[in-house]
Amino acid sequence: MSDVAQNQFNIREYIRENLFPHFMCPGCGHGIALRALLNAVHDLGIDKNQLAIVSGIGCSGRVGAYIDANTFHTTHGRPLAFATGLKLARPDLEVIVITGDGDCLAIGGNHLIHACRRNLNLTCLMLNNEVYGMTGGQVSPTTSADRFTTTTQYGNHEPIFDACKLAEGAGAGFVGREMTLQTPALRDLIKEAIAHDGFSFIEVLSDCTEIFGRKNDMGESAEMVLAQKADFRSVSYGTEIGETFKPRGMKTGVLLRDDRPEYAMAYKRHNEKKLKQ
Amino acid sequence: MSTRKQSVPRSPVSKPAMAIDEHIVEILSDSGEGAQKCGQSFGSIAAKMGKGIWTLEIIPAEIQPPARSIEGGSGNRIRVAGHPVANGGDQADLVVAFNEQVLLGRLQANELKPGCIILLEDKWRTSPDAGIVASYTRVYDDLLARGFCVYEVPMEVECLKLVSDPRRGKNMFVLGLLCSLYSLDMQLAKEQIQFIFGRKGELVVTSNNRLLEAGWTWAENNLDFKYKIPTTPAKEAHIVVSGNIALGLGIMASGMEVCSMYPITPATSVSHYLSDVFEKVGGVVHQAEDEIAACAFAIGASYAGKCAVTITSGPGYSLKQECIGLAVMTEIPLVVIDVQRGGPSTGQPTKAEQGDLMTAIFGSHGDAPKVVMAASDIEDCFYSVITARKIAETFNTVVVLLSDASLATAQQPFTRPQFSEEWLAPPVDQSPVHDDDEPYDWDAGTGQSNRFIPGQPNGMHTLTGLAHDRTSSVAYNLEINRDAIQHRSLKLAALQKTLKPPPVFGDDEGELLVIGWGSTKGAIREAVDRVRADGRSVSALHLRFLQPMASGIKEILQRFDRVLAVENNWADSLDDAMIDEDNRRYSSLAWLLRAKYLIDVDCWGEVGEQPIKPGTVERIIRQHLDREQ
Ligand SMILES: Cc1ncc(C[n+]2csc(CCOP(=O)(O)OP(=O)(O)O)c2C)c(N)n1
Ligand code: SF4
Ligand SMILES: [Mg+2]
Repeated sequence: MSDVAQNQFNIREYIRENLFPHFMCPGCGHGIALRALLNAVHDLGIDKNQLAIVSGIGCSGRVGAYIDANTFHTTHGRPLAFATGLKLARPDLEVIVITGDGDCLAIGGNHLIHACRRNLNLTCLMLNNEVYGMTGGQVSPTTSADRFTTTTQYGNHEPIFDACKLAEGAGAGFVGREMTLQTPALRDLIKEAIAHDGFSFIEVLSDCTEIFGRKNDMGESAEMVLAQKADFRSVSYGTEIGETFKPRGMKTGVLLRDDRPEYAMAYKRHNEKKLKQ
Repeated sequence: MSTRKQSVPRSPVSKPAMAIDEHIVEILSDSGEGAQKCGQSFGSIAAKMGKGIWTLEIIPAEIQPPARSIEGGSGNRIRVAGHPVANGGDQADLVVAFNEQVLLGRLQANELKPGCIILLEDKWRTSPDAGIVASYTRVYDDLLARGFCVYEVPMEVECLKLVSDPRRGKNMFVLGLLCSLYSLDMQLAKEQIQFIFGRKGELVVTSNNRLLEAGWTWAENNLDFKYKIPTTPAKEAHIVVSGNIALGLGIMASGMEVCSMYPITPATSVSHYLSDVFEKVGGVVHQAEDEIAACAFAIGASYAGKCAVTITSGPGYSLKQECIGLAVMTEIPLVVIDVQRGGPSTGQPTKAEQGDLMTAIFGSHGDAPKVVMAASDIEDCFYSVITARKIAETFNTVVVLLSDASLATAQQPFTRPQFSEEWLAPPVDQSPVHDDDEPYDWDAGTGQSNRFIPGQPNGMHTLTGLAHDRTSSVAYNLEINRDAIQHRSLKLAALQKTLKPPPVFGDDEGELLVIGWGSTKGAIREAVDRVRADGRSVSALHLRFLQPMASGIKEILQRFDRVLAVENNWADSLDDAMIDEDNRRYSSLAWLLRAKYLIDVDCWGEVGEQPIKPGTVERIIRQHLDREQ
């Protein structure tokens, strides 16, 4: 009994409450994602001293600074590049990257595909809210067609990225997607991603309530979260959702698992071979 | 409690308006309660009546900060005067606050004049939350004890008589109240409401008009004071816009066709505005995948014969450096606008700083001469873009235009520009290229050369960032590269010959010359005026061109006993025990002037005040004048 109580997840043990009140708007999906991540860290029993969180710039990136671990808030778009240096220098650390759709797919797109290609043992959590939240709601590479943003005042005309397909195509070892609505599923997906030995990419379907939601009359947080459900169908968690939902072809859950050699290990073996020659 | 000002209804008649020359008014609320809109409207109405105004946004650091928090205060400062004003002034004379916490933030920042008038929403006094009541009464009593003149205003109660959600209506109630207090034209106020809410339909307009009138009536009946600021109706039509909107208007007026950008505070609102209107005049706003791509896009479009601008702020400006070097090397006209913010790195995105001058001049590797200009007020934001484009296309070069966060959101009226054909550069010559013309026929006197556009008959050539000769073939010979570098440098010298010496503000010679650039102009001039009023010998010089600098500046500096650069960037202070002449890091302009003119320019640079106030500059000037030589 006391064992169970000890193991119960208490978010206060993982966040820096002294930084409160926090910056997030009411109902922002990033907070839900943060909780799921910390819950996963707790369940896996990762020592906070051995945990490094590297984040980019954006509301998504700011989330990282609230975690009571070794956190590095870097430059816009490039947390993966910093994390690559960190992880290769200290493979013993658990390195998790938090990034946004703009951070990861626009300015950081290049770093993402190369991180996937290398397959270094990092976990990358991309909080996709379809918009540049922090800078006031500009269009991002995942903004749906016709959505209004501050730089698409007449609706978005650009096609979007499917971030998971991109990561798959670039060679990531583990790819998954989950919505903030399914918080336990998200937590479990993150656990699998961290446990995977290789580059793990997770797209979290988050919501920007204050800027994107308001601009597009999408209602309050609850309505936005429920709307996520209407568009996606879970394949690997639980049962089929209901007939009423209209899958748009995008899937959630684990989308790819490939056990190809992890970069640091492969590099080590390569060097050992070289030295023997 | 006895000192508490009671709102006793009395008749609206017996209230002569007190004549004043100017006032600084602040409206403060939680984010999302509309204080910004109220302040901007108040400024616009006053400006339309012919008063001088300067408005400044008070921006919280976060997008949706917690309600009733010290750091969450959002709002507007409006300086209203009977004469033109060019900065936000020193401390506030009257503050309207939607709760006591937002007020505390300004108090801590020392932004309120001792004894100033405070109009405070009183609903917190009767809040069901005992903590809020305690906080409110504590702050209220403290304000009185400190000598502030506090009036409680039942904003919520009054608004609830008219609307169900006062959070969305209080701001227009307050606008009405201020219209009464400052004897503003209510007809203009109604036109302003029509302008803001017209799109949302008649019902919304009517409801806001009622709130406006309610505020006015409440003030007439309950406040025992009223002001009148002189009015000088303008002869020509004026517009009231922010620095960023002025930049957007300037981009369109200059005939530019392409604006490429990547979102970054405080530059982005230029593209928000352009994305609404630019296409209607044939322009394109392109949001690229990052600043490097945005710069490359602009260069690509410029190569194709369009005139392109790319707009950004600090971190983005750093990313553009390599591409800027390519534009210099290939001699592609390009305008880059950098709306500076607090640095380094992500720094302070919403705060002003003049920290990018050195990067603007010396950025990019190798010898990459480019023109650097800085806008000094809102109107200058508009006209500077037009000048920048002209120079870029005349010399086929890069022009960097610097603005900053304090101009980006500040508003000021200026004479409505009347479009002139002269603002446009002549259309790009697309006639067939003569056989003996080369892409880089550098003129021995001015360094200028040709601009062949793809598709122009006989104009095909390779555009390359490698060293190249006059035919644009890759140069393997050191002498050829030297020839190219020399001519690209010559372009700046040729431009410099056309720049007139800037006018000296004050006497042409004397004890102290204060020199500045960019957004500090208004504060410096006002400070110089105040000190000169005491008969002291001080003048000011403001630079619009930082690279090249106009002719005649050295002579001006030499006519003064001492020269002091005043800037919103870092300068080591000699008062610091560790700092001496040997290791001192000067403010940016001071570095440049010392190096260029071999004159012992002193400096005062500060990054802690947003934006620099005339009172601060006045204090610095007096200190320098009083200091033993
Ligand atoms: C080089 C550079 N360019 C631009 C910015 C401004 N900027 C800060 S956050 C951001 C976008 C954030 O969007 P996203 O990654 O989707 O995160 P969100 O805020 O939506 O969580 C941008 C463009 C910057 N900080 N640095
Ligand atoms: S702006 Fe959007 S993404 Fe950022 S904290 Fe607010 S709701 Fe979240
Ligand atoms: Mg985003």
